[in-house]
Order: sequence, then C-alpha cells, then structure tokens
Amino acid sequence: MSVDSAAIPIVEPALDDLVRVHLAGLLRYATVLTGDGHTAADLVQEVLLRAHVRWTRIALLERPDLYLRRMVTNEHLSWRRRWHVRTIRPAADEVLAAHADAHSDHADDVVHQDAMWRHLEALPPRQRAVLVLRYYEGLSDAEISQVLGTSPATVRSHASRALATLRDTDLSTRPEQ
Amino acid sequence: MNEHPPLDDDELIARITRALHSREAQQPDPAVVAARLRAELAHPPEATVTTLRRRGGKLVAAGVVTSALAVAGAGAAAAANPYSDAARRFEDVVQSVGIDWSAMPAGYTREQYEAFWGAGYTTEDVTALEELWHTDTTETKARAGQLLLEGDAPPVAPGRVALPEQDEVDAFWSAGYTIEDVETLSEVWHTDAFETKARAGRLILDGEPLPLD
Repeated sequence: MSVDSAAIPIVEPALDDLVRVHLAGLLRYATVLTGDGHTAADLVQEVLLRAHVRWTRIALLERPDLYLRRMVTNEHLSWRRRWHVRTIRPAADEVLAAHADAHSDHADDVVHQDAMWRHLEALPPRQRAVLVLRYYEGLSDAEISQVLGTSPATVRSHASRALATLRDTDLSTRPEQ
Repeated sequence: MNEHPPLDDDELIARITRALHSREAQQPDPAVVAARLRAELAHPPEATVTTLRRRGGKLVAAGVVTSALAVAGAGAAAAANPYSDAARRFEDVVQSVGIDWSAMPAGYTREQYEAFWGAGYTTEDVTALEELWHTDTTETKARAGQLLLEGDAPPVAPGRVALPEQDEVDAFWSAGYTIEDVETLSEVWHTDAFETKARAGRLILDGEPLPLD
C-alpha cells in the first residue's frame, strides 16, 4: 500500500497556508502559554478553524503571525474564565520521570525549572503572557502590545510587575497550592 | 521573611527563559493537529494519521531494536509528549516486537484518541461529556473513543454542543467583525472579550447597530 503524504486530502488552500506557515509556531506558543500540550492542541485547533474562515482578510495584514498569536492569547484568557481555570496538569510528574536519568545535575535542573514554571503559572494571566511573548517568543514590547491589544507602556508595566513578584519569591520551592 | 539569596535580573530572566523552554517537550505534533483540523473541515472525516504511522514505523524499526539504550531514551521522549510523531513511531516499533506499551496517558489509547477526534467532536463536546459523566478530560475522551470503537454512540453527538450565547458569537464573526472591533467594544462596554462578542452578536441578531465608528 502506498503510504506517502499525497494520501492526505487537501481541504482548502487557506487551511494549507495556515498549517504550513503558522501551525507549528502557534502550537509551540500555545503549549508554553498554557503549560499543557492537550490544551494547546484544542486551543489552536479552535482558533485556526475560526481564522481559516477569515483567512483572506487576515493574510492581508502586515503581521498575520502576531494576529494569530493574539487570537490564541485571547482564546486562552477567555477559556480560563469560561472554564474556571480548569486544572489540567497531567505532565509534571511525567516530565520529571522522563528526564530522571543518572545525571543528577540534569535532574536538579528539571526540578528547578519545574519550580520556576509553577511560579510563572501563579502569576496573573496577562503578566505571564507578557513573559512568554518576551522571553520565549522573543517579541519586542511594541509587538507584544499588538498581540495583547494594549500599549507598550502597559506591556512594560506587566513585565515589571511579574519580574518584581518573581524577584521577591523563593524560587527554589514550588508555590503554595 | 524571605531568606532566599537575591537574583540579579539577568539570572532571573535566564531562569524564566529556561523554564518556559522546558515546556516545549509537551508540544503536540503539528501533523496530528493538522489532521484534526482537516477532519473538522472535511465531511466525512478522514483518518489521515494511519498513513503516517505506517510510514514512521518502517523508518525507525531498524534503529531501535539494535539498542536497548535507544529504546529507553526513545520511550522517555515518547512519554514526555505522547502526541508527537516520534511517540507514534516508537509505539509502533515496540508493539511490533511484542511489547505492550503506549506513550498515551494511562487508560487512554491512541485508537481511542483517533476515533474520538476523527468523529468530529469538539472541545465543547468534551466539556459536556465531562459534566455528564463526572470524568476528567482524559477519561472522557477515552470513554467516548472506546464507545465509538465498539460501534456505540456517546450520549453527546459530535459538534452538537453550543456554548451559551454561541449563536450570538457566531453571528458576530459571521458579520465580518474583527478582534480589533472586539477590543473597541470591550472598552466602550467595560466587558471582557467573550461577553463583548455575545452582546454584540445579540444586537446583530436583533438588527441593532453596534457602537462602532
């Protein structure tokens, strides 16, 4: 039986364009934003189904990538409210187990990263989104302001408050649940 | 009182960056999500994932069976991200040599996963089934997927669940408004994005103008 990629049906050029250019980056962003691959997959799927309908308009924007991140971010913030911050945290122990090899230094790193991640999770959602966009996506404050639909000054304020909170926290332990 | 040593900003930012990157491992496989997208848009849904699995199994078979260490490492990577293409390939390989192992979460098989999403279910349907069965997300998808595999229908049909005010939200997007419009209206009404879309959609359905421009 032939098993090549041509077997995958082509639905519409707009979807192909979205998938080819933007899907992987959006999934990475959504995963780091939400901390959970399952949620990221669901969230990006919902956003792209909506974006696909209006893609001819979105594609004409100067930065469709930022626009799609804006949709993902808004959807994430909206889901948190609608779902009352559903506690999907399936991977922490799995990740630790997956990384728990004979190299204790590496295991320590994983523990510290996990503790830091929990502190990032405890930040207000918009502050955390700013940190993800700035330190993971590598966007400028002006670009982040486009994603969040706010001003660069507000972005700096969110970042400053988030860093101040973390600076004033014992990052070697997980936050109180 | 805080007794932890102070971090300078460079070190703090470096630690934040490392923690964020540590989550990348959980990224779902774009091929799986693309297949789900196509399944949502194409009727009837196509099970496109099968072709990739078959191809992947052949690709990695020789490499893995020659090294126990490679199997352990690949298994750890597969466990860290059960939706990855590598995880799928690894499952195929270990199962082909008689090992009953899956990277999927306990109690949730890849067949159930593919049956569930392939049937056209949405995240809103998942929520409805969770509330009906009082189960968590993984167990919900597993149970519904198993019913489908056995030829039974879950109590919620695919795509039949609408959020409260979903008609209004759909009306808003169908009318061609954008996220910029949502934000403008949110400022006018002091509402969050979802409430804004619902309220604006209600006005559209009632034939009323929106306070834009």
